[in-house]
Amino acid sequence: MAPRHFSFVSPSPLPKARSYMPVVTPGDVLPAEPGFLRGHGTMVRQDGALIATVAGTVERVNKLVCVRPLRSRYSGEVGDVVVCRIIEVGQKRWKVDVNGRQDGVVMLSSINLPGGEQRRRTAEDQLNMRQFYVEHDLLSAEVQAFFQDGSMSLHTRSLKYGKLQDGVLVVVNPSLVKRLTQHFHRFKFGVDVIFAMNGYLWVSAGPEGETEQLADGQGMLNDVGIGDTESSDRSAPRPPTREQREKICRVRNALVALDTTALAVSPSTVATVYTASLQFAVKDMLLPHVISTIIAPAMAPWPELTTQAAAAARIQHHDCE
Amino acid sequence: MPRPDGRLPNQIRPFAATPGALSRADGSSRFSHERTELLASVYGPCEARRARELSHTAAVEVLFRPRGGLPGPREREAEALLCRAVEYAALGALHPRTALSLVLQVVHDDGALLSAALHAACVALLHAGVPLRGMLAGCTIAILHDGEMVLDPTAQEELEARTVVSLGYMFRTCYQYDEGDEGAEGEEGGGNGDEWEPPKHTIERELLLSHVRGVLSQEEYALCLHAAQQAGICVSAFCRQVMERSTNCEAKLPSGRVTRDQDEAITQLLKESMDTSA
Repeated sequence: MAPRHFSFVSPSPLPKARSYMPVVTPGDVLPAEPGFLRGHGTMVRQDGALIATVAGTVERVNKLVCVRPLRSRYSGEVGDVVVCRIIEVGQKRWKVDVNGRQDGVVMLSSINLPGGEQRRRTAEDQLNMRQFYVEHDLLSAEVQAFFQDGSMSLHTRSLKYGKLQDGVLVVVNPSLVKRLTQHFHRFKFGVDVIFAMNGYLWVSAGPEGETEQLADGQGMLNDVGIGDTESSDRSAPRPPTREQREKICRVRNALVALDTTALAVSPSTVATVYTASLQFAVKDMLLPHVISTIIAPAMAPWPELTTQAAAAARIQHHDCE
Repeated sequence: MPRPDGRLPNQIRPFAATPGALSRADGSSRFSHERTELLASVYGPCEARRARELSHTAAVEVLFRPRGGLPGPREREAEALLCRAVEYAALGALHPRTALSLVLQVVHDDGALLSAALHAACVALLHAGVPLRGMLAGCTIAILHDGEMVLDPTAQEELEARTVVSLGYMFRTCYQYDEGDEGAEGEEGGGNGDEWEPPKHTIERELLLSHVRGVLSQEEYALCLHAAQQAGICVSAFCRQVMERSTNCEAKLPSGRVTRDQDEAITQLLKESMDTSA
């Protein structure tokens, strides 16, 4: 008397789910021509078949077959701009959280000393490490190299990198941030955003009234990275005004809206969503029906997506009521 | 004979899943079998403590939290069983020197807790993007004193049962693509057909978890294995649907419940798998 029947109850019918984006799940055998190359997210079984190991979409480049996961942690590459948080101060290095599989490291020798002094780091510098960066500080940095065990080494040896303050950190899915020619972006409406590759985006106030694009990140940081009193007096960071703070919040909400709807986060999409959101108050931007309105222009190239996401947002709105 | 809640002996409760129920975890899910409900969260692969770090593979840790109070021997047993299953299913060798921790918080216990925990863990692992060998799914089966087998028992049925068997499987779906069928797959992506039809496929399974409370005969165990396989296939098909939906608009859907057309697809899938196993 082997049980034969399993039944399911269908409580609330959702809009028809057509898989316009075919998703594979772990264990699925992927169709592959002979001589395929095994990419990320796949493995080869003993019998030679290629199977997926993560839930995601299949990508093919000639013979290379990869599965790109729907979400994952950041796996860095040398030269990436990242935003990280100090979690530990060591003998001659800081340990930082970079949203990766392992913690990153900032060596004492890979930061700029106060006043741009060039010299060997002494034992005295080691004792003064807490004057440079302490636990919970946020830095912008660049990936310098990888250690043998796969953890990354970062450096801040450029004026555009260093400690971040007077802004908002927004965490998004790292796979939504694409490589750009310029990761430090100054928007025309007076907000600076660091599009860090690890999904930690930094939103801060830019100078009022300037319309040019930021060339190399110069002047974006208030030179507060290094804690000697002279330099911080020279460019005393002025707290942002109320209008600037509102703009920062609007950009922050635009980023959250892009993240929740799994759209690419780039200067153009952020600017589009920002413009579309101007008709709403900042605090209303993340209401489900408002999200679907403000992201619609960013989705314009894919009308099918627009309707699907809008339908999904409507349902959630319905649930709220 | 109908059961107290009106189900057939071979009927499992309707389940629902929400991937991404928690915001701070790398992957999370809320999974419920009607009133049995768990929250699962996955942290990692991330930095391991020096003492736990393994040079060749990721260190897997499972924490099972009861609804109230401190974890006792029962929870430690569940932790050990689930830890073994996850260790085998996850490809830890890809992330040596890292830690993977899985926290299962019971929200409500109404029987079949171990299999519900396995399902919650599976959706959370998929959501976190942890590489796995296959999908985890299973079933809890209670054998009553008159020898009748009931699937997915409630807490009351578990209490009255002679034996309670919890089984966990790992499933791999092998689609058989005919020659020149790859183009057709692309068309399906474009979405010109209205009906979703699963392509021809076979399902491979491996037993990962077996837990028996009470006594049972060899024949009964064989029947349990068969039933758990069938139920597990349904659950893994359901988990796939949940993941497909989560790409659409993550965290925007109320839950990944099975709709009528998917229901038909799953029934079809089931029928086929039973034809192959018969």
